Amino acid sequence: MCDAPVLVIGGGPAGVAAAVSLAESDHRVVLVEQRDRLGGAIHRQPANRDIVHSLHGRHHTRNWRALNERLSAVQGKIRILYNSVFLGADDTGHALIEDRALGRTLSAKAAGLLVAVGAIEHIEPFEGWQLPGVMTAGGAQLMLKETGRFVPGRTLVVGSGPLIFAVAAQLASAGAPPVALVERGTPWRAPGAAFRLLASRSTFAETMRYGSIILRKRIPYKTGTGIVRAEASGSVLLVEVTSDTGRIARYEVDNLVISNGLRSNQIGLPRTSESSVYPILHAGDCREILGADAAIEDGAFAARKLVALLKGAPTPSPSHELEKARKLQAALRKLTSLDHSELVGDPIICRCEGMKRSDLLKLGNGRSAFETRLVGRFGTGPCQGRFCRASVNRITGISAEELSGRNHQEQRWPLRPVSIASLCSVTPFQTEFEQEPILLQPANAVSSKR
Amino acid sequence: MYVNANAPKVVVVGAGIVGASAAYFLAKQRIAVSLIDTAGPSAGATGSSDGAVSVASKQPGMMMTLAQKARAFYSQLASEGVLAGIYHPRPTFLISRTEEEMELLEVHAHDLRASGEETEIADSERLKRFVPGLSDAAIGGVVVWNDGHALGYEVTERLLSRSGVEIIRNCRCDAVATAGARVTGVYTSQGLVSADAIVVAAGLGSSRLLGLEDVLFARKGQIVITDRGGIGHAAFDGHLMAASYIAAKRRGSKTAPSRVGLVIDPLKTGQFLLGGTREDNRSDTGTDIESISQIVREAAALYPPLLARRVIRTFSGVRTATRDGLPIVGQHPTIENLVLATGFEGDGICLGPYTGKIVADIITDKVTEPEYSLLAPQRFLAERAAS
Repeated sequence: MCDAPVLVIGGGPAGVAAAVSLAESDHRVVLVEQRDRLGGAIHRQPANRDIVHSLHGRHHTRNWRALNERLSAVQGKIRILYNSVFLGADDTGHALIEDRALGRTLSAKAAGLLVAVGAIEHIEPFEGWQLPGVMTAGGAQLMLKETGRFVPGRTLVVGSGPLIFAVAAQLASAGAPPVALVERGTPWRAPGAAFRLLASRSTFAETMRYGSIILRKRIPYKTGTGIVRAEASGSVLLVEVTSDTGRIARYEVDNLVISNGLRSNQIGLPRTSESSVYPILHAGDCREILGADAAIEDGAFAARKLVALLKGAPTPSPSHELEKARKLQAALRKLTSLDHSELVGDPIICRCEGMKRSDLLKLGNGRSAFETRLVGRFGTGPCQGRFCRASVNRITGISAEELSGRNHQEQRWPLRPVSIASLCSVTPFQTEFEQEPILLQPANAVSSKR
Repeated sequence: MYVNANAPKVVVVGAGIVGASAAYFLAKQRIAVSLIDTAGPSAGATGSSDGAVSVASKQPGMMMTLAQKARAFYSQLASEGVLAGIYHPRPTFLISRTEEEMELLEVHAHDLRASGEETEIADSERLKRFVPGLSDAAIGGVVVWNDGHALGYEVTERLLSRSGVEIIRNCRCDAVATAGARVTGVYTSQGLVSADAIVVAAGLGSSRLLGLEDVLFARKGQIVITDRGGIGHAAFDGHLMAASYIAAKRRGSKTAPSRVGLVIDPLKTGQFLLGGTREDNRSDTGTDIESISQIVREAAALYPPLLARRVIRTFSGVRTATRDGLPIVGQHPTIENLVLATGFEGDGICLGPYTGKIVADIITDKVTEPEYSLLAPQRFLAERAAS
């Protein structure tokens, strides 16, 4: 068995699959999870046993159960750090982890690093998207999965991509059917892409299941229709949408759920390295959006590759499964028009500093990424441009990588805001692993209503 | 007058605070200016420093006098409107954490007073009146009342927008073009740009252009930026500077210089800028956990309210230091119409606008301040010409 552990970041399907595969290859693993249990966004578990829901396809439940069984079998080799947030790597190659339970920062020199932090949710700004009552589809799913319930009142779901289709059905299943589902894309006009879904039994079954819920609950489904703006009026939201043919519709709702799909999320992460001394690999949706099923395969593949790199052996080729998933995702993108639409009006672009599109235009042409950050104040707030860089890139053409920092060649940390108290107490991680007994919290039982 | 009287044109190399100031004061005299930078405005040390317009850390002598004049110049520019809303007067609090440091500060305060600075030696209780939340780790200190604050990138942006000079971004300057001993332009990655005079204010980039590799060196400083803490204004009025910072800068100090010269700069957004390390011959802009942790530990020990804050970013600035610790400002000894303004290390923000005016004066043949003769490049370049 190798001495130094391999560090796996992220307890979603890719991270858990990677950790399990590494342990099965006799590596010691430290798995870092920011929440208090494993699962990631897709397998988010209820906050307590009384909450039951049937939010997603049964094959997801089966997959997760299988991963948990493998995890139990390699217990002694995996140490899971819960409530621990990956802060990135510093310029001496130390992986930094904020241990929120103990209020300290762990600084780790591991044998290898495998990053599986998941996708980033993409939102196309519109006027009013920052208002109270507006939440992302991911946020809505999180609430549904953890509590089994949703915020009371009328809900409208708008945006583009498979996520809003799923969340509309999930809201209906949880007893909170939305007043309408408004999709910018026009799936009916891409029969070829729809046909592609048949290639994946599980995705097809899931789509049909959500579709039948939407149909059964008579949720109006508008396609080729995008949001124009949302306004606050007293305690309600007035939402205006317009179709490709110029038909305008208005909704008065209490909640507005928005999403424009998921994006890969590698900016600021330690760059991949295929060195045998300290290999660094990315896996799952943070590397490439391939979906929950392929994330498991991608995590296992990254683990195999890491093991080979550490041994100095030839690296394996990606499996056929990943290529299939890639084609499926391309079809889904085509179906639901995940490409950018026109920005309408003068929406807030940078949520942290409250900067609008007009503020960005006022800066004038030819500005550098650094001036856009420093003078324009785009990307200088707590999220450091995670949210706004896609929009700033669309408006100015400056690359998202450049916008994330002065010199995107260098490691950037912290990836998330980190408390000063925690940075005051830096603990070398190696000794940590040696001194404390390796404890594995039991994986939570998966609850699901049949 | 150096420049062609009919269509004078000056190229300024380097769009930091010094280059931007030179461009501004040249443009004010109706001289056409092109400002060239390998990246863009404020991309170097100007955009990654605290905003101390301060004489508090200076020792008596020429640099103290210059800093005082430069600070007064900031006040003048603010009252004239050019830097209105950007320059703010505010005190500097020099803080000692040991008896030894307090002794050093008392000597230092004496020197500051001898140079005409209004200072006050304050005990812990008195300091807490000005800096609520300061801990008992601060055993005493010195208040330097008439210092000020301005952020380098804000000054640069304002001066450039007011001057209307042409800014050429992402353009590398490779060599100075001469005819005989006279400047004719500069060879750049975008071709030859002709000029009647050239100002080189390119920080470390000046090395390659003028062969100053053995004179200039990088001194990296790691910096921390906190969140706003929901207050929306500066947490207190002033700039905290640990005596260790003075010790690091003050020659012959008995206190061993620390790797960190602690500075706590409360910004008007409510954020704090915490700095910084002094790492010689490091020109990268990365940061490491050991240094950042030391900065925040020292800062929070002195000012515990920081423990409730979060760090949103860490980065490094690269200061351009010189072998003798003094900036290089003045006419090149052998090439006519070539003016240097570089090597300001940590004093660029304070000295920038004033130096920019001096550079414009040199180019237009006006009389300059006597202090600047001591900064002339001869001290490095004359020996080279002789050898």
